Amino acid sequence: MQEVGFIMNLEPEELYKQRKERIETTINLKVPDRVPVIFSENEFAWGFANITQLEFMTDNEKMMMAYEKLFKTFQQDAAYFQPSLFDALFNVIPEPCMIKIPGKDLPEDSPFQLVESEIMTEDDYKFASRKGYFRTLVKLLPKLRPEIPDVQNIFTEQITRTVEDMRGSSSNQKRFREWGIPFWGGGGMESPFSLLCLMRSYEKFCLDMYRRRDIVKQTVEKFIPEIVRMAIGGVKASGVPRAQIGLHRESSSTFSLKIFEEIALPMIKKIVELISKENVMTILHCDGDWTPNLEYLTELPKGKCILDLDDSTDIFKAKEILGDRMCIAGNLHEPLFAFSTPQKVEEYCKKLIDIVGEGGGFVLKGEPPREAKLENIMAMVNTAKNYGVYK
Amino acid sequence: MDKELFDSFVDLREDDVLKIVKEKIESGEDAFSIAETCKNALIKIGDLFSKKEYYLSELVMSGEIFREIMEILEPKLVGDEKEGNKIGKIVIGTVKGDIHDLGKNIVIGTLKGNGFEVYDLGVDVPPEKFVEKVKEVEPDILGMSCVISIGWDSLKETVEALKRADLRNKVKIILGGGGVDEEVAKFAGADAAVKDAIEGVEQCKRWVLL
Repeated sequence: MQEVGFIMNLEPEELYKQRKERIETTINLKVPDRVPVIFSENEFAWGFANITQLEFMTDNEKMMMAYEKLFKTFQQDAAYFQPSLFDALFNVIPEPCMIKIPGKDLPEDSPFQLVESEIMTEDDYKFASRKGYFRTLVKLLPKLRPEIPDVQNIFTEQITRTVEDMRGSSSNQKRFREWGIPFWGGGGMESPFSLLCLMRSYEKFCLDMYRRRDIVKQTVEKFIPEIVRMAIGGVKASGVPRAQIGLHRESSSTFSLKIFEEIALPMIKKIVELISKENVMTILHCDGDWTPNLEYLTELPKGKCILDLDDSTDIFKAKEILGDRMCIAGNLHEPLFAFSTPQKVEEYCKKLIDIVGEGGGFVLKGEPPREAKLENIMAMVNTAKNYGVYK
Repeated sequence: MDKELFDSFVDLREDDVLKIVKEKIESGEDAFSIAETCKNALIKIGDLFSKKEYYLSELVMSGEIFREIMEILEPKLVGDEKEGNKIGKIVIGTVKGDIHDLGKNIVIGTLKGNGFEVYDLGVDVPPEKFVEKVKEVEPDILGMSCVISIGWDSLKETVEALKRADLRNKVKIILGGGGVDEEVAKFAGADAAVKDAIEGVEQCKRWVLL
């Protein structure tokens, strides 16, 4: 608790600089003053502020009020997400699926949910592999958002305005700075492999790997430059030199190592190469079990990536294999926040700090769900602040 | 058992497998014994998955090949052979509030391939619908899928509803989906939580066979 009291005496701008430096030192594989601590906010923030999920997604003032309450309570080191409202139409860009929306298709306190189906047919591969992601998306829009008449025109007309809005959200970003909170990621996008998998649906995409692997590979390659441009666009708008790439379907939980080796790994290497050229670091947001995939990631350049893991991957193994090459962030999982006790959370955080945090290059990160207990999140934050100090 | 058929299925050579099956049917071979060879190949594929030599993508592909084989064989199977030897009955569904069906569909394919009779209630299934089906078909096992944390309360509510209907001690309850683990199983009052399709099927087999 010593540091919390100490922080109270600092001006937000000083706090901001201190936190930003702590994160930058850590991701550059050096030893900071203490282990930085962050968590994904969006599942927990709205319930904590007594507003509905729908309000959090659609009302800027309420969303910012919820973030303010959250950051002033927990005083973590960075905001995991950029503050922006949900737009059902433009959400097709990172998540090309049909969608069920709270307040419309679902109760107001439900998270929005994706409906994975075969939006893209096997015949669409030819088009996609020649024309790229964005044009494929526009072609598939009437299937993705059947409820919006003339959706293709609306989408193309509004896309420029939306990019401007994104830059306009800098007033939200300014307020984060006034609270002393830097951002973890600048821009971001899902990987070509994950996007294609969502558009085809997981099961069809598995069959594609056996029936038409060559064109899958070509399509993934075709999508890469566009995806990187989108991620870099976000980086430039936010001024934060880190681009998060969502790797949701690449791990051993979903595809074999042979497929990973042949399609996903070359894609990841290319993405990191292109993003690095812009002097931006790539945050590899790794869903699923990457333990068998870790060895492959030694092929990535040193100090250019951050490995953001959930609890499916053996994070201790990740430290052993990749600790000298990239910063590792992870990995407190949802049920731990909801069903465990502050003592157990503290115990696990201490183990992470001792082993993964040894020599720096570690960010303590969790994913509290809406059912999380406040004292469990607080236990994570306080363990980083008190126990995570490097001597 | 035909080694060529068995091996090409285990290697997931779709075209070869279907060609062999068609040739065998045309030359008058017994459809039931062809189906048995293919089921053995599926068991071997499950083994390879457990040893981490195969992954979920291979399970999905093997399920598709098996479906195509059965399309060819089914018209030739007679009487009981169509049903095969059932080892147990399971009612399955994604809990109320959650509309994900991906993992559930893969598990259903694997359960069927392993001889289970499966009753699929779909997604967003309210507790009373689970209770009704359990009452009607008297399964050995109830499987609930839950991918997001909003479903945790629904899991618990369903188990409570089964207790009230005096059915809880008549079924084993298994949980699957990305959003569950042992802590969630304890919270909900289920018997087990598993992390993938094969672990789930192995658990179900242990319950009905031992």
